[in-house]
Amino acid sequence: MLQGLGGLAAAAAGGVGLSRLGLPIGSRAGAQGVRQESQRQWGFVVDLRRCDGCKYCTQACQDTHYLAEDQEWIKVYEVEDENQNKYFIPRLCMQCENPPCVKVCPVEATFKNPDGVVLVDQHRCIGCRMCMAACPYEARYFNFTDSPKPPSPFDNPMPEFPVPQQRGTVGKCVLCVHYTHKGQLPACVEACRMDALYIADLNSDVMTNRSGETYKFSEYLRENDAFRFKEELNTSPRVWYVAGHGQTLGGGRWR
Amino acid sequence: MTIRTLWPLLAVVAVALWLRSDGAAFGDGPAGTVLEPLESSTIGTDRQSTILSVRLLNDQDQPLGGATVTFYMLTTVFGERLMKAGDAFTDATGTASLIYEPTWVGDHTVVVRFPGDAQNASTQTTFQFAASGPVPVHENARFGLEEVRRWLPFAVGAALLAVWTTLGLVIVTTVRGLRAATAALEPQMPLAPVIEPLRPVPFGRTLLALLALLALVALPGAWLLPRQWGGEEVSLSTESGGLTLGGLEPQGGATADAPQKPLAVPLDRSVQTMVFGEGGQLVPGSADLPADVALVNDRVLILDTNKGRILTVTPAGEIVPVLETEAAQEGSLSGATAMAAHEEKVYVANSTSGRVLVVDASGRLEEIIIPLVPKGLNPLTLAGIAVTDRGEIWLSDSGNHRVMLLDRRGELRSVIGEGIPSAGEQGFNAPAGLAIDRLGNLLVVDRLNGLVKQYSPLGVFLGALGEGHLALPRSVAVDETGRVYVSDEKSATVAAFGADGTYRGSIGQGTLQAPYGIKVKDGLLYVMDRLAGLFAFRLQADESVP
Amino acid sequence: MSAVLSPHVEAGDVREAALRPILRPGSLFWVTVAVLGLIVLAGMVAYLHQLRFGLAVTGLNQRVSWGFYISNMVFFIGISYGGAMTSAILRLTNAPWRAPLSRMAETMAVVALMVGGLFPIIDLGRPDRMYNLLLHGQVGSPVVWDVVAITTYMAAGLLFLYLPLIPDIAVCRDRLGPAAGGLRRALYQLLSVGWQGTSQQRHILERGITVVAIIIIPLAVSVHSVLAWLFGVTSRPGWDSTIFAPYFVLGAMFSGVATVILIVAAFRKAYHLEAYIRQEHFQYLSYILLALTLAYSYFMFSEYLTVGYKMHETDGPLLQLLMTGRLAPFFWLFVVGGLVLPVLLIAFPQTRNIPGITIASLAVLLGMWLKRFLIVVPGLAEPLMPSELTIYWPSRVEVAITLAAAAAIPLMMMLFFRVFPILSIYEMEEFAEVPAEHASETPDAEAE
Repeated sequence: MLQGLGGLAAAAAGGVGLSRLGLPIGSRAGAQGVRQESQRQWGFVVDLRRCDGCKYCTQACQDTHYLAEDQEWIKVYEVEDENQNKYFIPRLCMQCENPPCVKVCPVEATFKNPDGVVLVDQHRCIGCRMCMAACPYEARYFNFTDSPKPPSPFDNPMPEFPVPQQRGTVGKCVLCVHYTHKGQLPACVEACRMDALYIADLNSDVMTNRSGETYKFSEYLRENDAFRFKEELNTSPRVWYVAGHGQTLGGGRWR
Repeated sequence: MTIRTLWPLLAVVAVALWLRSDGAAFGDGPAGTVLEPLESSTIGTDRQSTILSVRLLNDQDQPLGGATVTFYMLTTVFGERLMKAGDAFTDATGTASLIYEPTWVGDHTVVVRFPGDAQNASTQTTFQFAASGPVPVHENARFGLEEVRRWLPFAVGAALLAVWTTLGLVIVTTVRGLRAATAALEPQMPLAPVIEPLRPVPFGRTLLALLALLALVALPGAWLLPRQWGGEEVSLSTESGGLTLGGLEPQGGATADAPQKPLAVPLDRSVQTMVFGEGGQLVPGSADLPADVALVNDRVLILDTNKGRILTVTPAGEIVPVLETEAAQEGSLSGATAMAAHEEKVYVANSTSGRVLVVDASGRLEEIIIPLVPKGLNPLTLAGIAVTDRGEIWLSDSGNHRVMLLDRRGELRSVIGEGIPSAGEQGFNAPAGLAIDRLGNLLVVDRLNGLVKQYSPLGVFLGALGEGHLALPRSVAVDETGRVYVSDEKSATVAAFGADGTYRGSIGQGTLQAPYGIKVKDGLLYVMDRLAGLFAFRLQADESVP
Repeated sequence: MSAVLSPHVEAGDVREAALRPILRPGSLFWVTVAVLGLIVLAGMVAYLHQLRFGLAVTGLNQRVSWGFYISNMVFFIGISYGGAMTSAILRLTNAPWRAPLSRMAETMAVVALMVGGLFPIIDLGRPDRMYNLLLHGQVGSPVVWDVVAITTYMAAGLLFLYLPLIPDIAVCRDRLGPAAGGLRRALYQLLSVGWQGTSQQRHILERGITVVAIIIIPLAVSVHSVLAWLFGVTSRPGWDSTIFAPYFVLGAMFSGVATVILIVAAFRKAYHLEAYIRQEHFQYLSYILLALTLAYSYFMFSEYLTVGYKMHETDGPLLQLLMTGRLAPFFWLFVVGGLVLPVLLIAFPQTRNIPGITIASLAVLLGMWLKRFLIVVPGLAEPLMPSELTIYWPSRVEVAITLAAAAAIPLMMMLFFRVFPILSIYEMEEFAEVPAEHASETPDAEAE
């Protein structure tokens, strides 16, 4: 019906716009989750044993994307365990394979690109914030104000590099697809001084961090008992965590 | 010649012989080893695993058994990185094998390392093999209920269509039916009503007048209401308690190390550059997020970034424009964040347009220099500028993590940096401000690495300072005695370092909000705070530093 | 109840009473319109302020991203159910005492739906992109279901208001038309579509009204179910409940009946309709209200029992927050004031009179507004990640717009009744034992 027409129009516009910049053209995967073939499937690993809560990752992300203070696309939570020891959990968008946010968007402004990254088209978003209500990880942020970036005639915001952020729309971690498609590391991975953040490609089974520690992804997950948060919600996130402070794995509240 | 005199000679000869031969002959040091790659073969499972084999031999060509070798695969997903594929033990024949499941089709480069031990030196070998596939590909998790979800929209759509059709039919048939029934009666109806008509009180005009009056009064209020009327402040995170920012404060106890005397005394010369009027808007003459300051002759110049202007401060403390440019022009200053003075001219680096503009002392745009540099992965983002004695221009390109030296024509003379975010002596992560000290050495703010690095005029690395004391440094300035000042946006202060690179303390704590560009001249430190304005500090002489 | 009209009242008096707002609006009319109009305009100014500066002017933040606007949306759309309840259901069950109430109920339904349906738009961060809903609407999204359901229900509601209005417009055309201004006369002429009161026309009309009355009930159920699923499809504590759709529908009927009682009481007083809307009407409505209060309490109890018995790590803290924590005063205020008090007032015959019933309805209305707030905001404020509870306070903008919405409903109804009759003459004459005044002087095909 209308969806078909709209989808065609969107695909045409998206294809034209993105092909000009040589970025991987994404036609909308849509809520029905039709997966396009792509060479890479991005994932992420956080080693909780190493994170010391410095929040350099948050700062680097905010700097790279010119974000307002309240937009913490990667956010470091501080948790106390039973012995009053503090440990830290960096949380970024989980890039779920069954994303609740994509399912509820009324205008298909948020979508999963062929690399498996959930993106937001801020030219289409109407700002209803249904996706923010649906996200179980609190990973989406609303632009109450304008981006702090001084406006420039060279601004060209697109879902893969949503800078500057548009007021009245929703933004979230894009797993720095604008970097990873060139083989560069995401801003947070590059900034993590404890080397706790790893970017991974699920297809070639490679994960690496900023100091060059590179592992076979599937083997690393197995050997380190990596887990995903809120597994029971069937969101199938692409971010794995390696526990290190005796926290209960998966399920319920993050403790 | 006696033995006594020959003895040193003999000793020298013995040592020379010893040095020339292999250490192993004397039983000292590890002996040379060799790793021989062997033919790899595939196992015909459904995943086409490959057996990778090497043989470890010592310098006598004897196999070394029981040693651990590590296999690495060269990956190119994130640049060239070695991914550990696994460890294997050498058997009695010195052969170590690893079963590897390739995850991509095509050429694979394998690097095998033997770390070495007391007797055997470490060694490494590289070989290739090709995987023909098929290789496992990541499958997205399935959600389930696909069959239901496929036909559900059609079912709902059909129901909706039915409802709308029914409603449409009802209204159409009812109205038509009523009209038809009347038409059938029409000829039989007497037209004159018998009953006295009732008089409705007209109200339309009064209502419109009332609404217009109220609207006229009330609606302009929407434009007069200040921003603060809606909400007291922009609600950022309202989460309370429990969250601390660890590790970003300068370590080492700055307060304990601070000298008794303050480093700098703020002068009563601060100028408010961003002036807000009623309603939270900038007044017409105000600057808009000015980023840098420059000292030319006796004038203090301010770079008004968002409005694309250069302003000067009069002796009376007023801000007066010296040069105004339009955005989106070739000679635009809009978006420029760095400025440096040299021989009565000011050089402005415009990060958005990627140009260097040369402005003379009277405010005339003299020249536009286009950097003729190789394209990086990102657009040219000029974040810092410094001009050498010979008139050559150092520019920092924060988007491409490099610092470049150009001549007056814009041609590239030399580059420091690797083009990608990196660390170390020749690498930067988003280099920002630049400064040149009295010896001609270049100081570079390595922003995301939290350091200031120093290079000789030829680009030789001299040292780094600020480790652990800089959270988000932006600009650097050096005074005549060699002391270094660095503006830190995160801690909203200017950090001061001695000429030997030791941390001395911070300036402007509590006064500054967003310190950006800084310059030092004649014992005065000027700080361009993007929000709070232009500040001037008189620097105190530091007796403890030679 | 066979005779709607009391024995002392003549048929002609019905028309006079129904047209009283048009003929003798009273001195307070313009004062009330001005006051309500100012409140509505203040709300419009607040919205323009929000359009200018964005949603930063509200009290919303990154965790509580839905606040007053969404709870108002649920609330105001909910109270429009009063029309569906009293008019449609009572019509289908052939309850004659609904006759004097039906016009006001149907009007209130349409007006409240219009106001409630504005709130999702007010809540949008980019209302200038609303057309994307048409161009790129995604069928799987509850927001799209919401838009579709509301527009369909609005169409049905308008039809349901209009069809029984046709004979009344014909009365206006004949009695008021000749002495009225050109616009009013043309309006009556157009909208009455040639009604003459013949039995053939009555038959056609009755058929149409019955069909719409049947359709409007499932449509009304669908609207509030869809609103409930806006919350129910998420995995949040307090929202992730299978009972949400019937819970919301019942809550809507509940608050809708209370609103009908209040509206009827207000207009009855303002236009002196005591002769036609008597204590019995209020009592019957109060019985319905009592039944719905008990039903709503039952749903609520069932919801909280199943959560509270297990106190899962996900849902338990929210329940504690509501019952014993920071929000406990508001929760128990709702329970006592919005549920217990009305039951007591209605159960006892001493208080089951017009003032008592009106107070009970007011308590229910305010209580249900509070309950909507307590559903929306704590579900967001309760953290899903390890952090503290997020505080939300509405800003002046949100309060102004809420008050404007509340004022807009009586305002629009007052203006509506300056053009159309406030009582359904058609229905009242249908049930009266007194013969109706002839709409025209044509002898009908059959005798009455």
